[in-house]
Amino acid sequence: MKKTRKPQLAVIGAGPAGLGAALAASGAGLRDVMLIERDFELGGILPQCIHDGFGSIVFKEVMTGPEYAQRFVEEIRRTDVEIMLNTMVLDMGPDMRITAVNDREGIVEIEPESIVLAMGCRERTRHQVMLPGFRPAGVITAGAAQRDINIEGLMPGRKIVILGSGDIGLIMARRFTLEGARVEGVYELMDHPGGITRNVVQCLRDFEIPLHLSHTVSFIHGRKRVEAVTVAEVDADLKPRKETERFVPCDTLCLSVGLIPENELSKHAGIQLDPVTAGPFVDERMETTVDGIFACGNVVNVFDLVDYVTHSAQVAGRGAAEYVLQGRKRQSPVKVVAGRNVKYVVPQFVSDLNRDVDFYFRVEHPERAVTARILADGKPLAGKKHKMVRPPEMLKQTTEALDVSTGEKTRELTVEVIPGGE
Amino acid sequence: MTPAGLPESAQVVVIGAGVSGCSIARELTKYTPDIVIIDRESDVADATTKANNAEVHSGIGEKIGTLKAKLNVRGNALYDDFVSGLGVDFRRQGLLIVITPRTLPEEVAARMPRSVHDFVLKQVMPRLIMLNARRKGIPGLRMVSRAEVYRMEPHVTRSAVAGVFDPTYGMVAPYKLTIALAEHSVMNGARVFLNTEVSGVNVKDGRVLGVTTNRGDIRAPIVVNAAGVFADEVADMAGAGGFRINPRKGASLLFDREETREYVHSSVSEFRVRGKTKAHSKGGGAMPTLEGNLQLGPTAIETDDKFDTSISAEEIQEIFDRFYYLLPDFPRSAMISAFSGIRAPTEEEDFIIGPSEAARGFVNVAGIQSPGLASAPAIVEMVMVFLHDLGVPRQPRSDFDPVRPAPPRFAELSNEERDRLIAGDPRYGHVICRCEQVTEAEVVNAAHGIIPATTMDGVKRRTRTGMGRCQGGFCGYRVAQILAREMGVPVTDMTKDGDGSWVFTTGKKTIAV
Amino acid sequence: MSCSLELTEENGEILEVTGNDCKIGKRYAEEEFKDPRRVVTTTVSVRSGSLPMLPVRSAEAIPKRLITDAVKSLEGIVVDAPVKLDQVVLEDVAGTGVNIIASRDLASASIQPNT
Repeated sequence: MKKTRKPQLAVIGAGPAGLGAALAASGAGLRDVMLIERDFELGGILPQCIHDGFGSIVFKEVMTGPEYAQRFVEEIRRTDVEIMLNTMVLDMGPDMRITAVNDREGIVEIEPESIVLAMGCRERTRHQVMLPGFRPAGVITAGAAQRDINIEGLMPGRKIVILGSGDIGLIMARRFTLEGARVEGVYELMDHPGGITRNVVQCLRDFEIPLHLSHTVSFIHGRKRVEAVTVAEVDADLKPRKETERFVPCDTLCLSVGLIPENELSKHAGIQLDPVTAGPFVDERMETTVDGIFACGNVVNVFDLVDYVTHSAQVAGRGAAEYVLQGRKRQSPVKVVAGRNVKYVVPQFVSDLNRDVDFYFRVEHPERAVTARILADGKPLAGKKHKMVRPPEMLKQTTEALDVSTGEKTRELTVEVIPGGE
Repeated sequence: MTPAGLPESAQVVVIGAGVSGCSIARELTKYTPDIVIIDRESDVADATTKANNAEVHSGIGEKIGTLKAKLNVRGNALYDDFVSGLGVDFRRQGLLIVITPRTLPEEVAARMPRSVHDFVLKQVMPRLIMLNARRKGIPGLRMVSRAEVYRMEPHVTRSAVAGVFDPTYGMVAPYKLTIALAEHSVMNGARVFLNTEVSGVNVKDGRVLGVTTNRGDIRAPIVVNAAGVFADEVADMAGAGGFRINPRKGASLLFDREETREYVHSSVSEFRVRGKTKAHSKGGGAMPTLEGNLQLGPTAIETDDKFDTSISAEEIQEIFDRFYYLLPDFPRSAMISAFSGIRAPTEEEDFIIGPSEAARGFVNVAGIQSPGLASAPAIVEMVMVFLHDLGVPRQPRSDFDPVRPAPPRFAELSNEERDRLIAGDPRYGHVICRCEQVTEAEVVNAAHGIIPATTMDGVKRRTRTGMGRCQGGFCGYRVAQILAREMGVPVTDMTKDGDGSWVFTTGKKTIAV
Repeated sequence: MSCSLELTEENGEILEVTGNDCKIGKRYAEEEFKDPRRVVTTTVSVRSGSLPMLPVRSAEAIPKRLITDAVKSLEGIVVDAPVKLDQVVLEDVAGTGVNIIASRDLASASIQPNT
C-alpha cells in the first residue's frame, strides 16, 4: 500500500520561479520541501535561454540563462529540499491533493500543507491566432525552436519567416542566423516592436534582418512542408489588407505570438484566475484565492525579467513558510485597481497593509515623461519618474508598510501612470 | 506488417485504406485472409477519413430515395455491432435539431404574416421533421418544447422556438476507427501496403486481372475501388468509370476542452430549409467530441483541387458567424485547432456502389461523402453481397479472431491500473505529452503497432500527442526522438505526414554562415 | 529598467549623449558608436554528455564585426563531458583575446538514456 507523501510544501515546477520559492521556503525554516519538475534537469526554461541579459538585478552581473539557473541549482543542492525530476503532476484537486507520476515510483499522491505553483507558460499556437492556410510541417513556435536548437541540437529549418517581434522572436532571429539559417524577415502586427530595443538592435539590425511593423502572415503555403507565406500590411483593425499581399518563399514559419500562463492545474484546484493576466489572483504574499496555495513567476503573469521572477518567488516561498509555521489568517483584502495607462497589476489584492508590497505592472501604451505611482484611496503613496514606459517592459514598484495607525481602513489601492516626469 | 515487397497475388485487392476500404477489408477477413489493402498515403485514414468530422448521423438529413439515405439509416442501426471487438469508443450522444426564426428561407418567411410564421416554426416544422424521420425508418425522434431546449442546452440562442431530439445520432473518432479496422484485418491475415499508388487496373476480355502500382503488380480477380477523391480516376483505369468526383472541402474548428467541456451535451444543429442557395451540406453543428472538445462545422466549399486542404480566413469567419447565432456565447478565443478535408461526392450527390459490367471483378465504392462514416456497416453489407457473388467464400472462417484489443491509454486509466502498467514497463510513468497525458510507452506502442505509426501524425492519431492546448509545442521533439529511436533511424528522417514533410533539417549543427 | 539613448555626432566625432539614466548608459552609447561589442552566445556539440549540446559564451564582449568569424571558428568543435561552468572551450576566438567558455556544468550521460 503506497504511502501518501505529506510535505510541508510542494513546489510545482523547478524553473527560476520554483527554485526561488523552494530556496526561500527552506531558508525561512521549512524542513520538508518537495520540488517537482517534469523535465530531466532543474532550471525550467533557462537552460535553453543561452543568450545573456539575466541577473543584472539579483546578482548585479549580466549572465546567460544557464548561468543564472546554475546559481540556484548549486544553492538548492546545499539544502535538504527533496527534488523529484522527470515527474509530471497529473492533477491537483480542490483539497490541495496532488497526483504526480514518474517511472520510478509510479503514481505519487501528495497532500502538502502548502503549495507553490510555478508552472510557467506555454506558447500561443498558430490556430489561436487563426492563421489561415495549409497545415504543413515547419510551423513552429519560437520557444519550441529554441529548445530544438539549443538543447537537442536539431535545426527546424533553413529559410525562416518569424511572426511576432516579442523578445523570443527577436532572440530566435539571431539564433537561427548564427546557426546558418536565413531569416527572411520578422513581421509584427503592431506598429511598434514587441521586445526591448536592445534585442531589436542586437538581434535584427546587427544581422540586417528586416523588421516589418504593422504586418501579419495571412496564409501558409505548402502541403507537406512550408513552402511560403503570404504576408500583408494590416489596417487599423489589424486585419490584412489584400492589396498589400506579398508572397514570401520560406521553409519555416516561426511563431512568437505570445505566452499564456499555464494554469490548468490551478483551475482544477478551484483557484480563481484573473482574465486579464490569465494567472491566479494573488495577494502581496503571492497567495491565491485558495488558502495555502501560492503562485509565482510566469504562471501568475508573464514577466520579462527573470530577476523579477526570482523576487516574486522569494515572496511566495516566504509566504508559504509563514503559512505553515505561523498559520496566518488573511484579513479582508484590499483591491488593487489598474489606473490610468496601466494594463494590469500584480498582486491584485493586498491582505496585509502593514508590510512592504512589491507591485508589478505593465502600461497599456508607450508614453514619455511620466510618473508611475501608487495611491491608497486616492492619496499618493509612492511615485517614480520614468523617461519612457513601454508595454514590453514591466515596471516594479514597492510601497513601504502603510501606516494604518490612524484607524482608517484603506478601501482601495490604485496603480497609475500619469504625465509629468523627467 | 511490412514484408519486403508486394505479394504477387491476392483474392481481393482493396484500393484505399480509408474508413470505407478498411471496413470492407475487415469484413472480408471473416471469410478469407487473402486480402491486400493498398493506399498511396503514408498511413491508413490519411486522406479524407482523417478530416472527417466524426458524426454518425441517424439519416435524418438525407434525401428519401437516395442510396445514401437507405444506407445511412441501416448503417446507424448496425453501428454498435460494427464497433464491438475493435476497442473503439462510439457514443450515441444524440442530436438536438433546433428550430429558429432562420429555419425557413428568408424569401419564404418574409411572405408570411408573423403569427403564421411563428405557428409554422413551432408546430409545423417539428412535425415535418418527425414525419421525415418516420418515412425513413429512423427510430426514437421526439419533439422538444422551447423550455426543454434550454433545459437540455442552456447555451442555445434565446431565439430558438422549438426542437426535435434525434437520439440515435452518435460520434466516433474516424481515424481511430479506421486504424482499428485496418489492424483487425491484419490480425486476421490481411496485408496493408502504404505509400503504394495504383497506376493501372488490368482488365482482359472484360475480366479484372489485377492492379499495377508504383511498387509492382498484384494479380487479383477482385478489386474494390474505395479510393475516395480518386475513385473516378481509378474506375477509369479499369474502364469501369463514367462518373466524376467533384471535390468539396470541409473545415471544422476545435476548441479547448478545459473551456468547452459540457458546453453542449448532445450535438446541436440549427434546422435550415434550403432556399435559393442550394448548399450541399447539412449545415453542420456544434458537437462535443468524444474527448470533450467542442467542435464546430463543417463548411462546404467547392474546389477543383483534390489536394486543397487549406482553410481560409473567410471559412473560419463563416463558421464563427454561423454558430454565433445558434450559440451566442461560445468561447471564440478558446479555439485550438482547425482541420479540413476533401469530400469525394459525385455529380449526382449519391453513393455509387456496385460491380462493374465492363470489368467483371471490379466493384466501385465511390462517391462516399457524408454520411459515409455512418453508412460504413451498411456499405459493407451491400458490398459483401457483390463480393460473395464474385467468388469470395460464403463460409465464415472458424479461425477469425473477433477481438482487436485497444492499446492502453494512460490518461483514461485509474491510478491502480496506471501503477500496474508502470510496474510492467516504467515508460508508462514517463509522461511526454503534458496536455493529453500521453506516456512514452504509448508512443512506443504506436511505433510497434499492428499498423505501426511511421510519422508524427501517425503517432498523433494513435495516441493524441499534439492534440491538446499547446498543439505539440511541448511534446513535438520528444515524439520525434522516441519514434526515430524505435524505428532505428536518425531523428532527421522524421516526417510530419510522409514524404516531403520533414521536421528537422540536420542533427548536430553545421553552420553555413 | 532600460533607457533610450540618443547620440549626436558630427564627422565621426561624438558631440553629445542624452537620455541615459546613469554613466553606464553614456559609456554604452559611446562604445556602440565607436567600437560596438557584443557577447556571443551559441552552442557546441558534446560527446557522451547528458545533453547533446553545450551552451557557450564569449567571456567578454567582442567586436561586433567579428561575431560571424567567432561562431564559425566554433564549427566542428566537440567537447567531452563532463564540462564545468567557465571551462575554456576555445581560446582567443577570432584573434580577439577573448575566450569562449562553457555557460554551465554538463554531466556525463548516465546509464539510463534520456528521452
